[in-house]
Amino acid sequence: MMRRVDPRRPAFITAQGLRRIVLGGTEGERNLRQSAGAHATVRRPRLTQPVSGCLLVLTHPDSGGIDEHARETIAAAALLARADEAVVVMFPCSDLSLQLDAESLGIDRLELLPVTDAHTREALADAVIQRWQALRPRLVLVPDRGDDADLGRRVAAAQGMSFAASVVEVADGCARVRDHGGVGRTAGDATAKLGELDMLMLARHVARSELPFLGLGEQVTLPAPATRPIAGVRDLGRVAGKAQQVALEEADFILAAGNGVTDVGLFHELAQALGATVGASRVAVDDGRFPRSQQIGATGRTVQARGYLAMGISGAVQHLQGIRECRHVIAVNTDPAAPIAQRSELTVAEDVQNLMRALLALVRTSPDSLGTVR
Amino acid sequence: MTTLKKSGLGVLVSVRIDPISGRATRSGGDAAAVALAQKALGDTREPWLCTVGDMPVGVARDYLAQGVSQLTRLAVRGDAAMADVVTVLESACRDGGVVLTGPRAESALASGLLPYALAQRLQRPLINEVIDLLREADGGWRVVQALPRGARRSWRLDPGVAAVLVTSPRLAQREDLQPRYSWVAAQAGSIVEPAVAGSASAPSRVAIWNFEPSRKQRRPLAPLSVESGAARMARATGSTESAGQGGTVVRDGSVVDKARLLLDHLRKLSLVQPCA
Repeated sequence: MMRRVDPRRPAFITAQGLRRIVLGGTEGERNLRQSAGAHATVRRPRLTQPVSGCLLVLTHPDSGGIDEHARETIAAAALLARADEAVVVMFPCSDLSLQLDAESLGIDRLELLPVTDAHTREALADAVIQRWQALRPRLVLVPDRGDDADLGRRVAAAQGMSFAASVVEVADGCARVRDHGGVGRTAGDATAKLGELDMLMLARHVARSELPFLGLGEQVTLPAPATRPIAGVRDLGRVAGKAQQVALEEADFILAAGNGVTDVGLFHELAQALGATVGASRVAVDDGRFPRSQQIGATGRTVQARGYLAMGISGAVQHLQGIRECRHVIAVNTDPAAPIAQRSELTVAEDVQNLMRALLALVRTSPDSLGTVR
Repeated sequence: MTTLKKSGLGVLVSVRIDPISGRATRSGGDAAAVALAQKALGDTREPWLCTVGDMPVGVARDYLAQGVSQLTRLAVRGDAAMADVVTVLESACRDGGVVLTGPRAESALASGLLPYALAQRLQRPLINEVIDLLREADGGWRVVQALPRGARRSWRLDPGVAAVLVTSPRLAQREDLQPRYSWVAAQAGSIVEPAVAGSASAPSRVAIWNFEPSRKQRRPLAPLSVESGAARMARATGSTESAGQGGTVVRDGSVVDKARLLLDHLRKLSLVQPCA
């Protein structure tokens, strides 16, 4: 006869958060239900030794926070750093009061560089080069997009760094980029050793942004760099784009309509008043209320907006896939138990038409309700 | 012979390797840059077109077909590094004028560093993401930069100020810049190959690239998993707490109260302008 193992034998939780069973012991609790994520929730700082070097990440804020691409780049730096190397992030920003959870992002030191609109790109690059020369990082990592790519290339060109752009994979001590081929050479990949590179510009999805450890999370504010205007080049100022004409993929704030929205005219008026880009779910598009180009979801577009206001959308899995990278999701729905309520940070249980009317009246009565903050 | 100084506006054009057929073709972005330069200069003058390296004659004729009479092809060694290309370009562009380039090459490694290295060597300002270029009455330039989310920023270059302008990837999508194609111009245009002596450049660190067949699967950098198998299964089925409990649900109150709450939340996130 085989002795059966008691499935509810006594166990206790150790200081490390591990469930421990002493065979034959009677101490401990019998009905100990351990939360499944218990191990993952205990995160310790990555750096335990004195720091002797560092990796530098350059990134700009994206409307007051940092987006997924920058998160991935910082995570890549934290994963590539050796046990005695710190992850230093240089963050040129105009608003120093920003709230960042530097520790959980894996940042060991966050260096805020106060800049204004008067600072030219050249002045910013000079400030970064000064820090680079002081820190001497083993590698500089930059997200390959927009302002970050511009700043990174300026620094790389000025310092004669060896440089890899649009890195698609970092593995086995090598960075991999796409090779577009040449006259008489077929396209393929190209790899270079990390030891020979000074700067990596990372494409999306090079690293996973969930880290099992913490950074030290120090925060310092660097002195503001000199503005250094260039003779003969004058900035004539910027004009904000019209929210209605912005492509959904790069929109900052999206107002999306689902099956609950029957008054399309009112919906468009509200989008105009809020300064939001218009999106729609598949049902609303199939009904012919919105063009196919505005469909968000698995068969439509994938969006990365900072704010997503879902009007009368229940939140089918396919739709939630499309808004996976949205930072703040807010929903208005008659059914507060709809799946979108699981995803959204604020759910208002109300009929959409009534709420849209009330919201429009509120926006119109409040002063200077002309579009969003840019 | 056209030079950059004479025409005042130069365009650096490059070869695109078609990703399907592998053949050398004209780059859509560079063709749009040539069209932009022609529009900016008007009918009286024409832009200076320049390329470095072994551009096939057929591709060069494709650029000439846009109505340009001459294309300058500067020779470098077959295995020239970017520093050598910059050296050759520097001596060709040194005598002033605005130079338009594409953001990234469409052949080889496409690092996009060349315009920055050129601007650095020439000690000239660089403006990226250029979507429009207009000539002003006094001979200066008005440069329009495309920023994310449809925003535009304008710059003014005073007369005689030389600069490197990097076009926006969106320039090729501009519908009012259809590059023209004239067979006669393609045949009549000439390809000149002046001898350029470049000064030696300072040696910079260069990585050694190994070319290999492309691999479809990319392995993302991920930490070694320390979580237990049970936690992993729970995460996959979405039965952990972290799977998302949802946020606050507002059920009570009148419609106006709810709308006010919603608007306050949007203002807190600075998605809508705060109340003055």
